[in-house]
Amino acid sequence: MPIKRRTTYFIYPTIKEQSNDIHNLLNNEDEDGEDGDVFGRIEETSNYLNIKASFSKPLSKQEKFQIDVNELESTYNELFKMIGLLTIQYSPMSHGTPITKTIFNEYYNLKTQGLRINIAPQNVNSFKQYESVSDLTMNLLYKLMDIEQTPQLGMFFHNQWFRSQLFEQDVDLSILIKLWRSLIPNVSFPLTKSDLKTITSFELILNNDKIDFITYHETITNSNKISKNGDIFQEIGVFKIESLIIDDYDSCISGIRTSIPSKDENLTFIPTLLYLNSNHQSLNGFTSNHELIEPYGLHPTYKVSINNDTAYDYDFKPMDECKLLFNLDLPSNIILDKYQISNLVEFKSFNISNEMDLELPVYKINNSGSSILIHLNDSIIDEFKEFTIPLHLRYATPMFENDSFTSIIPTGNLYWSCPITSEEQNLISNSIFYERRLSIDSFEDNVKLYHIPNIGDNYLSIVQPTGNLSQGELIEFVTVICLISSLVYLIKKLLL
Amino acid sequence: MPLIVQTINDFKIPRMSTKFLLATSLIARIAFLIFGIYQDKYMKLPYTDIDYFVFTDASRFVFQNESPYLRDTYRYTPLLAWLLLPCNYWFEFGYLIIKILQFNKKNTNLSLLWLWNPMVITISTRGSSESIMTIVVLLITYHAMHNNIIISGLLSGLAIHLKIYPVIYIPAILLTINSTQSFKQPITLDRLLFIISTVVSFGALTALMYYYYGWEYLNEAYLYHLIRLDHRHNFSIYNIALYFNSYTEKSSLKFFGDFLKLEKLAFIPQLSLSAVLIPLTLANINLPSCLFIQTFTFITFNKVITSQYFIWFLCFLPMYLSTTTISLKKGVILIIGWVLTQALWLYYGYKLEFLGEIGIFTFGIWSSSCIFFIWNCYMIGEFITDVREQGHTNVEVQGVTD
Repeated sequence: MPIKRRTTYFIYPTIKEQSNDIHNLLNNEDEDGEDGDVFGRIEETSNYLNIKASFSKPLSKQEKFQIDVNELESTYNELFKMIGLLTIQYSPMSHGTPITKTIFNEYYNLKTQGLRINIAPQNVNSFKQYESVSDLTMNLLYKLMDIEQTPQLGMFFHNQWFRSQLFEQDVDLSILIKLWRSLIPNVSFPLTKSDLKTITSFELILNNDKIDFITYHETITNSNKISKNGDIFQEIGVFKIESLIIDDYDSCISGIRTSIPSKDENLTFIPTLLYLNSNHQSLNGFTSNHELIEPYGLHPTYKVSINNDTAYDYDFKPMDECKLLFNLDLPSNIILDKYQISNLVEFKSFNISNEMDLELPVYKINNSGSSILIHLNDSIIDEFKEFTIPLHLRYATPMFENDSFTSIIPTGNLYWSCPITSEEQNLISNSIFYERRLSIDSFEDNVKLYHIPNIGDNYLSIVQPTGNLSQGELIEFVTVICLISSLVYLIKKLLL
Repeated sequence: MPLIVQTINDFKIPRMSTKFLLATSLIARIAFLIFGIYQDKYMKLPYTDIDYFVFTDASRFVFQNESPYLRDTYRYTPLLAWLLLPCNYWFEFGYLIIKILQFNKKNTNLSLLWLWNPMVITISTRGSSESIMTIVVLLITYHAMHNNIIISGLLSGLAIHLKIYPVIYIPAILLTINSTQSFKQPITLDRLLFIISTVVSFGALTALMYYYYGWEYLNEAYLYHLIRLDHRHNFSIYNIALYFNSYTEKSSLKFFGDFLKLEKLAFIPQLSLSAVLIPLTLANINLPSCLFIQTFTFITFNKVITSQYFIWFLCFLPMYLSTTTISLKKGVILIIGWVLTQALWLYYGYKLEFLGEIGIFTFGIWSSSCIFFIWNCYMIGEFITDVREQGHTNVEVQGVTD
């Protein structure tokens, strides 16, 4: 089976290293021994390769499995060839993700809480076909992931492709295994149970004839043993990150890589320099806080505050061509009133994908949610340091034995979108970490996004009061009694 | 003119001139308007009614030669959007139209219940269209009482075109035309003239709007109101039951079965009282009081009640009070009860809407709407007794005169 596996480990600096001048560490060994070094983390025996990790010296890992579409289960490969561009992303809810501590900058700046599927069929002849193929695929994927179809899972047209989102908490990482087993039934799922425990997010990216399954393991505290006699071609890389804060947008990291199975008894390690530049970077020195202004009642206000750490003297100066943008995805129980938003002066312009009815309760809406992309005035960064978006809650579904309903809003993306040259884009596109995802910058050529990362939770919870159906009979009975007795009373007054 | 209240028996207030009343009420409205602009800009809770933005957005579409129904939630006759066309030049102009229309009536001291009424001032200066409705309704009353049959018919058609509810006034007005006519031979030329002029006016306006906006107009302005989902909290006693039924799509009560629904039956008590029994009993005793009670009853039994609807009956209040036999003490108790039961609901409404408090749908919103409903019914009962008393007195006076 022609599956390529690429496992990339990232060694973070130890606490001691962090306190030292990072530039002096480039060629020096760790004072504690060799564990801070790339080779200090690798142990090779005749049967396996051991990548050492512990609580005090954790690792990060990215696993990537690349499969040719022709190798998929025959039922699906024709459909996937027709689609060409598909991205499935899943990240569970998390609290206060420390964005600067991850190497997965590109992905972390794009991910959402929950499950998101983007489909842009490339080999269709009309928009009708574009929509029907998207719909068919969306339904198929939910079926493969064993997710029960509910009205909230409907898809909507987002920018130039179809999107479906699911924020519910009862979806978990088992959907990855289910997808694998359905699409590639002949190959057993290659990750071990301990690997599964450390997955923080995963992606499935279909780019024409290739499918990438990518898993992200943010923190690994147990050593990883890799058999040297595996039946899948596997490339392994171990790289050292010199600083938790990567302050150069155009930087490299060094390490080694090898591949198994190998013809030689001992593995050959090739020193490698990795180019880190990507279309998505975190804007150094800037962070944002996302919150709902309390109390919010049935009309929450989403507030974004921007913090600028003046201790850093970073060289990012937005060019005139740069646009300050904010993208927010919302579940179907939240209403964006375009008429109200159009009166807000801090917004230059905005676009709502999947506009929905402004009045109906959530149980009458057959949509997965909506999305807003706002072009903000630059003065928000320089002067006001905050902005708000008015939201409205739909009436929630009345429930038995419960007086409230909790919904989730994944926090939005705040970023500068800046044009870059074709040469720079070529360099980025040739990086081994480059993935062509369907995301906020898709179908925009030669742009680089400088994200102002959210330092809080990656989601906000909204607790909304709802009617208690167990009291429905009492309510209707007393209502009818009141009406009848009042009618009789008034007729008596009128006629007697 | 019957709209003028000539005497105030219970209040010992020096008679104020019309100019003074108009000037002070104008000042009050300007003050409220300016405060509203300030509140919109600086306070969390906006002053301007959301409907005003709906109207102005709709008129913007009309201004651009497009349908006002391109504006979501615009479910009125396009006439309202046409009226606000000048807003596309000057936003605040809409308020002025409404105020000018409000002032287009005479008044004496009791009219200050309308002119100085903070609720009326607030609702009209927030940009609500209800004030336009009330002036049309008052004109109908005036012309009906002056036997200007065709004019009152034409105005009735306009009123029903603007909002459907004034249709309940038709039986009352018909009964006052040729009031001595036998029930066995109800058809008279004047009554026919009134009906024809109403139908012509309503039909012409509706046809004109249909000509411009087609089925979309009929759907949004009329048919929508037949199938609308009244799930959001409001003063109506039906509200929470309808919220639940809109989800379950059936009644919670077994004896209603799967097909019979509370919302389908709601018009029975509402229309039987407001459009049939009250006009039959009270129209020929005192038409404005009858219209007042009809409106009060129609709103009390409606599936949706918001504060703006109160304007519909408040415009009749000065005329009703001018002939009432209810004592001052009892009147004050009735009003205090009405305000308190309303305030109780508003207290829970605020907690739900702005604080998101959990667990108050049943014992909070619904229970207070029941109390408000019961008090309203008690008030209607008192009003009915009051007008019937007037009828007996009139008969006695007539008997003495004869």
